[in-house]
Amino acid sequence: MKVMERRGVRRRRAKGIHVRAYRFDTDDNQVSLPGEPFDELACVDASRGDPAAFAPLYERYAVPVYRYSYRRTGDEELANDLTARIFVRAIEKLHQFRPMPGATFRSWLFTIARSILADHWRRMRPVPLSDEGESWLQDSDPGPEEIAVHRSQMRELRRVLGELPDRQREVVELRLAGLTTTEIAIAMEMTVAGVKSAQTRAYSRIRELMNQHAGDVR
Amino acid sequence: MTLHPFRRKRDISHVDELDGWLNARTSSVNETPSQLEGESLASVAHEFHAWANDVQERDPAAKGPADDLWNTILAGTDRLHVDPDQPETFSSGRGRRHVDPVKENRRATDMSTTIGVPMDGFAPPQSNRTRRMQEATPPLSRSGAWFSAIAAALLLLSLGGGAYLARDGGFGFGGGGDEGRFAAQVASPEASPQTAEVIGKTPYRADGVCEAEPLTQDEVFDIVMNPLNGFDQRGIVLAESGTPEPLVEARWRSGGQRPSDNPDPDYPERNVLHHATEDEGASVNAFVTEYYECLQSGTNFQVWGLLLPYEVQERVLLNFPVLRSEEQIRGYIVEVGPQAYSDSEFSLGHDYYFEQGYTLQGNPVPLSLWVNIDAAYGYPGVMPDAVILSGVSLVDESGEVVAAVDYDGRPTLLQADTLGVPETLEIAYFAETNTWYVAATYSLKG
Repeated sequence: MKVMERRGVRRRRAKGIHVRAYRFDTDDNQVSLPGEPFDELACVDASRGDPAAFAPLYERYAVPVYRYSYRRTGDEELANDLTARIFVRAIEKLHQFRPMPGATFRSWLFTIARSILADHWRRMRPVPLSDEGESWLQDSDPGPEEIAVHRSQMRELRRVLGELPDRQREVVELRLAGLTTTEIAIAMEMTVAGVKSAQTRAYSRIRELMNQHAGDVR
Repeated sequence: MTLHPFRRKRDISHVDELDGWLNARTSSVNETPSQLEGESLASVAHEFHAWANDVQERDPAAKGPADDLWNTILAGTDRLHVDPDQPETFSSGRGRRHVDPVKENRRATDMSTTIGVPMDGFAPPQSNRTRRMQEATPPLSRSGAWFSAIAAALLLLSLGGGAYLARDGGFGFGGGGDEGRFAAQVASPEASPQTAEVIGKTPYRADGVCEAEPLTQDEVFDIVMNPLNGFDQRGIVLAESGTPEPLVEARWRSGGQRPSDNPDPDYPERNVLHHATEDEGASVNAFVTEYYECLQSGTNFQVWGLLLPYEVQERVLLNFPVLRSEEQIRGYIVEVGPQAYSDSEFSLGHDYYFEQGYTLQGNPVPLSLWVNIDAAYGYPGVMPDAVILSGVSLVDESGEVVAAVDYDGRPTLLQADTLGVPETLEIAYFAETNTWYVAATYSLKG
């Protein structure tokens, strides 16, 4: 009972900053430009005075940023909210972006994403995965079995990532988001050698975890 | 015994192989597993990434953002519509009434009225992180006489010196003349007795009365506009110029996670925790106890006065969507600031315990001192002399501690598992003004 009380508190706080509750006119917004050659820096330049021109960049990075947020939170609504905040911040701060060798728009965007996520975690401890599982079991309206299986696998993915030390996990998360070694080094303020070292340890650990998992299954 | 001349080279090669595969994957996802050795790390990475992608593709919640999210983002950077005849109001109890953005007769409030966004006719808050105070202002006492007592004790013991971070990451106090000079290492597990004399031995106070000096409306508004203003208000000098310009406006601590007992081997100087003794934690505990007394009986203005300016800004803006205007912010501060904290939305789970007859106090054993703050602490220009993580105790009406967690949220009393306490605290200490502020709170899950 007390657990539920506190989970309620967490939700209440999250709702206070919820963005999706707002609806806006969407008629004039073209977000996808399929098939066109993509010049990222030109798009960045165009977006500095016109947020709508940011659409191709959103199209390009919305999924990796959302998935990055979702893997960290495990909460669809919250991941959408965080994704919105990341892109709003990026658009607001676009004038600060200065491309340099290795410092791509992607690394800059994920620097912001890390900042927003860090902001979130500063006040919200991650819910232990075991408890997250309990909340699933307590769900009075479970979805189709197939979805439940997929979500169980998603939970397993988050569990594996959760087994890694913070920095190693972060490197793998950014790898999953498609960043290069140099981009990760910039986003995380590490050296390239540090990134390589961390990812080597991380994937070694992942290998152990996967072998353990295979052993458990057998 | 001879070492194989290529042993080290082979060891490194698997690092490069993994890195090369991961980078290649960025440009071409379709690397085939046949190109990789069975148990190599690159093969593991391939398998793991393929599995992760598959899992995320299959889980509808993980697949991608909501379809209308871009429109929300675009609107968030474009326009906010507010009824001009009915300015934003706030409910007197919990939370804030949100405006319906599709309502008729809306007033356009553009980005220019969003906090921190440049626009015509409005000077955006300027960073003063490299500005030194022209003249030091007297330290502000935020929590009454007891706080002054700590200040006096510290002042006497650190004359001519003040607290500093020792080169090896320890937290020390210098001063007291040639004979009296010492640099006690509070940070070490086997802390010296002198240390306890410096910051310890402060009696706990749990009289249920909040004695914190409240912030004014203008002070809160200035902080919300730019938290660096709050440091000026409190006489805390920020870092000199030369601080690297962050890529974004704030450099959060690595990964956004709490420091832990298992430091990252790549960065051994970071995330190192040292346990303080009970005596050393006494004054911290007094501050924490005062903080909770203010949560129970103080106003929001008083509670905000105990928070690091960044935390004040966060707690105010937490009640707004991405867009907010100056007048909305000010209206909120004017209305909510004088209210009892326990009546406000921020109270989270505290009121639950207060209503059950419990009080919350610090849990002095163990505390944790976060060293190498320069590297680990996340606010630009803000260099506390110490950052201390504190647990919380739950005390019943008879004065008995019935539950407690340590700085990391781990129960130090058996009952804590079932009764629970709502959070742990991160406290920043500034030696120059001898002041403590709550820098962050971490909600716990029961």
